[in-house]
Amino acid sequence: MSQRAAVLKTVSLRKVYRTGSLDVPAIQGIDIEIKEGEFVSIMGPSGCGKTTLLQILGGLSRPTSGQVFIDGVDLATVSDAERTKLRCKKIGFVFQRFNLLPTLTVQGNIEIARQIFGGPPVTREEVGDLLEIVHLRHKLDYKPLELSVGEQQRVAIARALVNNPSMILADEPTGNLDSRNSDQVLRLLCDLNREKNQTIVMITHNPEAAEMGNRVIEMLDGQVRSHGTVAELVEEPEQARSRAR
Amino acid sequence: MGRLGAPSGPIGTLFIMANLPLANIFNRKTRTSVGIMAVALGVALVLVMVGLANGTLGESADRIAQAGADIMFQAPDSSPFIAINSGLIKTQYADRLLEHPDVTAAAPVLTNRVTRVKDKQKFVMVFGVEEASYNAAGAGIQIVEGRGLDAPQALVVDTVLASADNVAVGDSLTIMNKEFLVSGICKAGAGARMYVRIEDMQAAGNQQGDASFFFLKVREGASVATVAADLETQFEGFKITALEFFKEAMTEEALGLKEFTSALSIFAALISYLVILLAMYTTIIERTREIGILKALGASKSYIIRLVMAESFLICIMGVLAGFAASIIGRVALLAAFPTLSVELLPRWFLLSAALGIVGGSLGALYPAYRAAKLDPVEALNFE
Repeated sequence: MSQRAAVLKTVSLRKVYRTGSLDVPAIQGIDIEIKEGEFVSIMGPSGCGKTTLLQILGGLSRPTSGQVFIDGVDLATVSDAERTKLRCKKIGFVFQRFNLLPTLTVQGNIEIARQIFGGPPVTREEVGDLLEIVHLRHKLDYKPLELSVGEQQRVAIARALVNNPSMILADEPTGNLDSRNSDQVLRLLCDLNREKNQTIVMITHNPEAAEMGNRVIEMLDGQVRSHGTVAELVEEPEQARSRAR
Repeated sequence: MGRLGAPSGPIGTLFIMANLPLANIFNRKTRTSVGIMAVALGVALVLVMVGLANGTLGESADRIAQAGADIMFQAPDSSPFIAINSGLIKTQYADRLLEHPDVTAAAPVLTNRVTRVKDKQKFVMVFGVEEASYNAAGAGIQIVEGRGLDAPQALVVDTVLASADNVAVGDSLTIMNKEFLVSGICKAGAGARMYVRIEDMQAAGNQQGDASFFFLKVREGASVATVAADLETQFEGFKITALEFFKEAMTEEALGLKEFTSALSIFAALISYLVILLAMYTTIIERTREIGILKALGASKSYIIRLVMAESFLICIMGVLAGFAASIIGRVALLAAFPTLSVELLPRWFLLSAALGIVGGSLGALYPAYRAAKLDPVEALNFE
């Protein structure tokens, strides 16, 4: 794994939110490296900065200081438009609240992601093939609100895949799902990682979900507390913590 | 093609581009309806009001042109609006006008207005004429029922007025404070809607020997322009208009008409601008999260602007079409209720009112589109 290229990298990353006259630090100096084909789970209590970190990694938010590299490109050195283009090309997002457009059908939701990307229009067959991966080919013409929450999340994953991104950033993708749907979504992410070598970065509260990944990053108060496999975090917590320092 | 799904090929690309704006339009029916109605109101307002102004003006001008004379001869500083009676001229001028070798007929016409017919409010033009010279100078009074102006206090009305107000031969009507007897019904479309003998009108208005203008007939084969130029030299300062150009002269001298149409146009564009601004601004606030999703998917600022503009453009187009339909229906309804009115829906005003609706609406969508494009994706995604 060490010989693989780093697709995501942060150096001394900081993010401070200003609330009125108060500065609230969300990220306090994070240095991480995620290599191509890795499945990394980010864990930690609520408010520890996981989502902020994911948003910065995905170029949705700018850090207060520090650097973020996507495939070697320093996001601080590119324009807003280039950053948007890079995000569109390299990253597929999956959100806890699915974030499907309610007025469009499943097909429309997938098509629009391709339209924004700017590639050739995706055909109905291609959309059907993508939905086959998430076992929803038969729901092509449904509106999001006509689907179960598990199905909505699977559509969101299919949408994230339409532009064939090299990495998927998932913010608690199973947070709103029951155990059966959670298993399905996690299996799907694992398959994508194993079979398509897609880099996955997933935020989760669930240790069992985190175990699906090759590596876990544990966060606390805007910093990386420890990292390693789930077994390492449980069996050798001190070593895992020292690796983070 | 599924429900709002795209067909393949280039049509598919266009379809996908319009997919979200179309879906938003059909999913926000109240907002869409209000937007469409506002644009339609502006368009219909311009078309019908300008149509009424132009129609009334055009109809008067057309009637004069249809009278069949070649030249109108008026006193100096007279208005082409013959209902104004702005300058009177003595009927004796007929002899001098007939001295021109190419003028074959000179018909003095005194004009007046009638504001009430059979207790109904109207605005009807009446010509006081010498029937013989009037018939010689142009198409004349074409009687379709009854007789012409063959007796004192005789009155001829045209078919439109007769039908609208149930006027029949033998009826007695009070006009210009005098009792007149309907002696005949004439063909509509030329000259005035009512005719009386010029001496009766002069007596009614204490205008003995006066005329509002002369209709002149030019000898066949002679040049109307040359005769008009000769008369201009001979009668310096008098107003001499070749009737071929009468409509243009009338439109040019229509005081306040241009200002009226400009004010209406600005008003219509303002309605479209303000309503679309409000509708799209509310929509953007309502759909902040949706915009956040699009931004998270990689949508650029220009993509978001195009999306909002496309949506407002579609609303404006539908509003313009609804406005066209409302104007056409409005015209039919107006003419059914008031047959003597004239509403002229000109093609160029269709184009202009459409442009006003679309430009006004598009300008109204610009600011909301800019606001949407400026939204921070993270804040937008967290918007409840």
